[in-house]
Amino acid sequence: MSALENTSPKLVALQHALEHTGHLVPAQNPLDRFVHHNPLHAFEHLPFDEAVEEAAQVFGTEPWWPEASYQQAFATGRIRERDLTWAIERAVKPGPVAGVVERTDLARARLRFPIEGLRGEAVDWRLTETPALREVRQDLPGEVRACLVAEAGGDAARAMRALWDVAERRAPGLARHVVPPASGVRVRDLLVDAGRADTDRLVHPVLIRWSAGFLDHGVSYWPMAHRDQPFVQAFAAHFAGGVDIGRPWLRTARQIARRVSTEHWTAEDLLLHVLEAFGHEAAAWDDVLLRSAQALSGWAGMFQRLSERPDTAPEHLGIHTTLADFLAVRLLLDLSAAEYELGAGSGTCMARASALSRKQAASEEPDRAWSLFQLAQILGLGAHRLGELSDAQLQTLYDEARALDDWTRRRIWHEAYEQRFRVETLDAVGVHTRRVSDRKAPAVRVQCAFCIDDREESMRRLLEETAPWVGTYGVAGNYGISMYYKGVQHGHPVALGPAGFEPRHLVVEQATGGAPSQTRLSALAHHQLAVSSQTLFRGAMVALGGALSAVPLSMRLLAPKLHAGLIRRPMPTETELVYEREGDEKDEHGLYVGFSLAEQIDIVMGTLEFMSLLRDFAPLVCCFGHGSSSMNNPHEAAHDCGACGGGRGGPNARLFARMANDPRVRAGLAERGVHIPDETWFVGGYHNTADDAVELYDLHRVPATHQALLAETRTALDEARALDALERCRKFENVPLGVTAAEALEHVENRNEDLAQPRPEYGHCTNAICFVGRREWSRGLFLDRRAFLCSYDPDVDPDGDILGRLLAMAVPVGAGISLEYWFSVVDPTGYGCGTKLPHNITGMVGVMDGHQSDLRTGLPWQMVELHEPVRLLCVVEATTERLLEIAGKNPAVGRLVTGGWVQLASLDPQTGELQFFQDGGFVPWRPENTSLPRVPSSQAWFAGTRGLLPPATIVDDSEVG
Amino acid sequence: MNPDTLLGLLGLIALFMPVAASLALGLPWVLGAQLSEATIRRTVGTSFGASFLACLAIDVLLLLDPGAAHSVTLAHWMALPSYAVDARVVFDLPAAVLMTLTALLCGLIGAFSASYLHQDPGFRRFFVLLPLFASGMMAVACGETLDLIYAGWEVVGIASALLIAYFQYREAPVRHGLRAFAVYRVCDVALLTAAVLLHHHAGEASLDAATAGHLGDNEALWVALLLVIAIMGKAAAFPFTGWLPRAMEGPTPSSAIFYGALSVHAAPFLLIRAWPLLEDQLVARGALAAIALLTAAHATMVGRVQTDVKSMLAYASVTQVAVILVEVSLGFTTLALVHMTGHAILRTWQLLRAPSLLHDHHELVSRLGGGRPPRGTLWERLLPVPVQRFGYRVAMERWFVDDLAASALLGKLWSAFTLLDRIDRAWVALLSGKSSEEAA
Repeated sequence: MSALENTSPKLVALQHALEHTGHLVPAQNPLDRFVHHNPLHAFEHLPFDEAVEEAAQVFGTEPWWPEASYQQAFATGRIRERDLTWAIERAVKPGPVAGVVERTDLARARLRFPIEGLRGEAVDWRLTETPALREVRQDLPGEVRACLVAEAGGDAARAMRALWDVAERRAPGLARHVVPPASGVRVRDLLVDAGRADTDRLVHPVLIRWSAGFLDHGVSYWPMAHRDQPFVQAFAAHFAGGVDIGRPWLRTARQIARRVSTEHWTAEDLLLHVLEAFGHEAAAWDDVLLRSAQALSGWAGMFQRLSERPDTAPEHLGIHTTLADFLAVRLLLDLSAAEYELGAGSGTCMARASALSRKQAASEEPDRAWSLFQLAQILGLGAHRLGELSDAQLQTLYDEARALDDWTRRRIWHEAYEQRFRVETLDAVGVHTRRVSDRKAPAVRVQCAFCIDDREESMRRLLEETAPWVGTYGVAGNYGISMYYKGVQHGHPVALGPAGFEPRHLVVEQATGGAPSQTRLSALAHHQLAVSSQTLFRGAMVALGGALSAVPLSMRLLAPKLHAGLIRRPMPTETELVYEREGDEKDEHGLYVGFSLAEQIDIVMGTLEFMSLLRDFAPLVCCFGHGSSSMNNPHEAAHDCGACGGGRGGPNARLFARMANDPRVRAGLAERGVHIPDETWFVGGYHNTADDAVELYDLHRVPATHQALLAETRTALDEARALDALERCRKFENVPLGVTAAEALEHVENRNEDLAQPRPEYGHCTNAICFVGRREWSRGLFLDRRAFLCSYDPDVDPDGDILGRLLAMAVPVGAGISLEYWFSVVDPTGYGCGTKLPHNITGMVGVMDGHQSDLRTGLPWQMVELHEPVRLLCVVEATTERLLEIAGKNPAVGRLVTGGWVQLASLDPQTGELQFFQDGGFVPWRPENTSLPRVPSSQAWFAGTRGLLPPATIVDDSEVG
Repeated sequence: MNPDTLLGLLGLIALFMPVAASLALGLPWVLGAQLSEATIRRTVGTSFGASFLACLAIDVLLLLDPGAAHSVTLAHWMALPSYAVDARVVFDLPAAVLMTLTALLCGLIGAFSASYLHQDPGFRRFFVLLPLFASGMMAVACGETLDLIYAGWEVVGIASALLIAYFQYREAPVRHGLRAFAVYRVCDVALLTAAVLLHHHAGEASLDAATAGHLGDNEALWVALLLVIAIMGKAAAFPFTGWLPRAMEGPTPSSAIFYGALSVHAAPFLLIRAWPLLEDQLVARGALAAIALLTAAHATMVGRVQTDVKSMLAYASVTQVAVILVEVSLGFTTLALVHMTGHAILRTWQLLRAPSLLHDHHELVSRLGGGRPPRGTLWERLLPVPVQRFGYRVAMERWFVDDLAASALLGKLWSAFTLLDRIDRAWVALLSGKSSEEAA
């Protein structure tokens, strides 16, 4: 397009605006590749407190919990008086305010006793229709109320009337604070401000429909045409020609679309054209594009995500999506609607809309007399004392009280809220670790490795309780393997590996025995029925026999597990992994077919280092991946293994075990100083965290010598998983307290097949802690499924190299999960995706609310409802120097730690002393409690309870004294 | 007991159990009493269970004696010396089919929702509305006179609108609930008029041959045409189709039962019930067939381009309801009943599973051994590409019906209301002595 040849500075400005917007739209994958991430990733360069408040302004979200939630936590004892004192003293400088009140007392009063910001008639109503003038506030402590009434000789009504009179008299003397009106940058905002029609109501249905058509990965029967071209061109191709009835507002869009088609405009060409037509100054483009994207941020984010990471799409369609395309179409429609709304006239839309925009009355602060009246009450200042204050004193007092605004108060509350959790956890760690030296190290015959995932905390603890001869390890559930994996149950290869990387290797599972899966024909028939039922003639045929579906309908609703068992297809009983590569062969997608021996040695070495299992190998080492399956759950993948990029990690564990059993690999390890004894055998396995099924792989390969031990281990695993189900069930309100472990297991097995169950499992809900260190000192500590557990032994890592790599992996992953929950629970509809009950899957990529809405990102309420918003508390067994050095060397870790996105504590490997990272440095932790409940078993501690439980020590037989 | 009396008794149990449940849950709410989820679940379960068992017993009695029908007069609404309005119900084969279907599906949906809606703030509201809706359906099913059917019809409508707007704190559900309500009301006018005409000309509103006999040719034609118009709203017939996909705002189970299963089928059922009045009215039957065919073509075409699972199922639903209406217009009322039953159950099952789409898709792809699941290509092979493109565009915009309605009809209404608003403000300003801005 020639007209734009000389506009390169504008193009630069446009690119900048696009980049700016691209950072700030949600970076969520399509649903079946859901990976937890920090929703405020774009703000990670800021300290946490600043970031949440800045993001709240940019996104229009809530920075903290509502004040009422903290008040509630205070009322139930979740926040204690001393926590509040601690938080207040950190937040405000002590000292007198206007000679009337101590500043910390002022802050405490403001936090404890909310003052409603009332205006105008609301105040009149309060005064005339409520006891506001007859009684002192009922929520104040007795002595404050007594003090207020004393002035009037015990007559509350007179005291209040006098106080109100003073407040009303003095209020006009206080300086006025006027909040400037927020001015919109989009023409649509100006129109709405001017009381005109909301053009988004016209634009969104069209935009969502066509965006969804373009991004559809297999829902519609007729896919959209022209998808081999960019969205702008595809949209223009459909819009430029043909009919259009009943939509006069689209006239401009059609005219421009015709030019887009014939002159082959790119998204940037169209954007420049439209921005100019709107009359937006280049300086405002950053804001305009951002606000325009945010009006449908989920859709904008999906266009952006699929252009950044096309490999996360459910299927490779070869469609070309960019944020620029989406925004170009959006602004084209916006322009068209705005021009229609403004009607005929001269000048740009922006100029005309600004002229229209009626002067927004600057929103005035709440009624000053009322605020003063309330402030005096909560401070215990009677009419007399209030009246005595000089104008300057009164102004200072009023301003200081005002400075403790909504966000500031909630920030202080939040500090207190986290402080209680910190005290409870670090004290428990302190007490529990002191026991380590008192204990005999149990004789370990079997070692079991699990993912560091917080849901495996209970599984590990319960397994060790059931079988004290088992030692457990925590390691990232991908076992160092990043691969495309095509199992016998997979239609196409799935990526299993860390989320940040696209795998470069392919591993295939082949059936070698048992029932071959002959289900293609029945699947085709099933599919044809389902598709037919939505058509006209075939649909009529299907519907005539539709009464037959009463059978699956009622079975699935009344006996989910039974029905699932009936329709489960037969799987081959014996399969083999094809994973060895001799040369450098690649498949047609450019993937290496299998791993070479050198790569295998690297993987096994790296993973053993990651779990600090480099010596003292037991005869049997079981390695478990994990995943989760559930019905009617669009967010199913969010319950899978985060370390596997939202996949199910069984194959990784299985492959790792195969590699580790290979004598050639062991020889390679021996050269690097790691000697795995010949009598040690690795077995891979899979833990389904939804129904607590545990599966072990390649058992036919296990040597005869190990069979007895294997059988014993499987018995222990079965007992542990039933107990795990029981521990999970205590949080499910529809399971009565007091069920047995067997009943609990039966329940969860039904639960994950139940169509009517919106909470198949609670996922990472309540996660809060990340331990990195030897199992010895966390073994037997009840952590209520709240802790990521990474195994790390400082003795085998003298130079801190392993720890560096471990933290570089664990801290960002843990932070991503914990922060996604943090934000989704703090603002369930702003950062989370609201209740899942009306969710409607769209284009296989996301969910909308009901019929048509923005694509909803974040976590649904049913996943996070039990979560406590606390930042991840990492307790690492390492010296403070080592931790500071690692934080300094690794910017990703350093930023999260110093910015306060995660909390960090050091547990000294020698002395067991705890230090907490605070305000840029480590300070020794001064415990509040020096004892911890001691219970004989986990079950004894959690039986009969529903809510979160504090830590406890499980006292086992091996304990001396 | 005389089997006829037994039939009547069972019918009344089936009819009144949901009414009782709705009252049992609704009254304490009005009185401010709290009910636990378990109590609500048990109440609803018991009432639908009893209702369903009664329906099954009716089915058995009717199987033994297919011609049986038992009329019960519930009440005399009005009695003058020469003229009476009775509330009469009849338990016969069509009634038994719809009543059994209602009890079965509402019962299953009740069971489903008890855990699906667990801890939702609107739990109780949902379980007051569900039996209320079922009561309405039961009244439509067994009402013998158009007055009673009209009452049930209205109850179904109001329960639908309230459940569409279940998530009342967001804007879209409320707008779409209102839209459904408006469409219902427009069509209800026709039903009410038909009832009035029947009373006026035939002296009663029973939908039987005797009534038909009392009507003159012209009057009979008018009544038949009004009935056809009356069902267009519930059936989401063209050009009213737009409200149905928009109704998918409530929790998944309520969408399933209303727009997949029961509510949409009230339309063909009314015509089956009124068949004696319709049978000889070829013009009305022709009009019905034309509307139904147009609806079928519209819905199947628009349904094919939907990219979200619930809209897709909504249009699929309309398509089949339209086919059922064609069957009715041709006089195949028994076929229509079978079709209706099968379709209702099938669609409920599909809608309840809708949130499993990704899970099911993965399962399908893996069973097929990879690749894209096959789709029919009949139209792609038959039609030239430009026609396909044109068809896609028109389908994507839903034949522009909603836009036309918005710009032509609602636009005018909007202007009228804005004018009234201005007059109102000016009047208030005059009375209160404030400027009209402030008065707002």
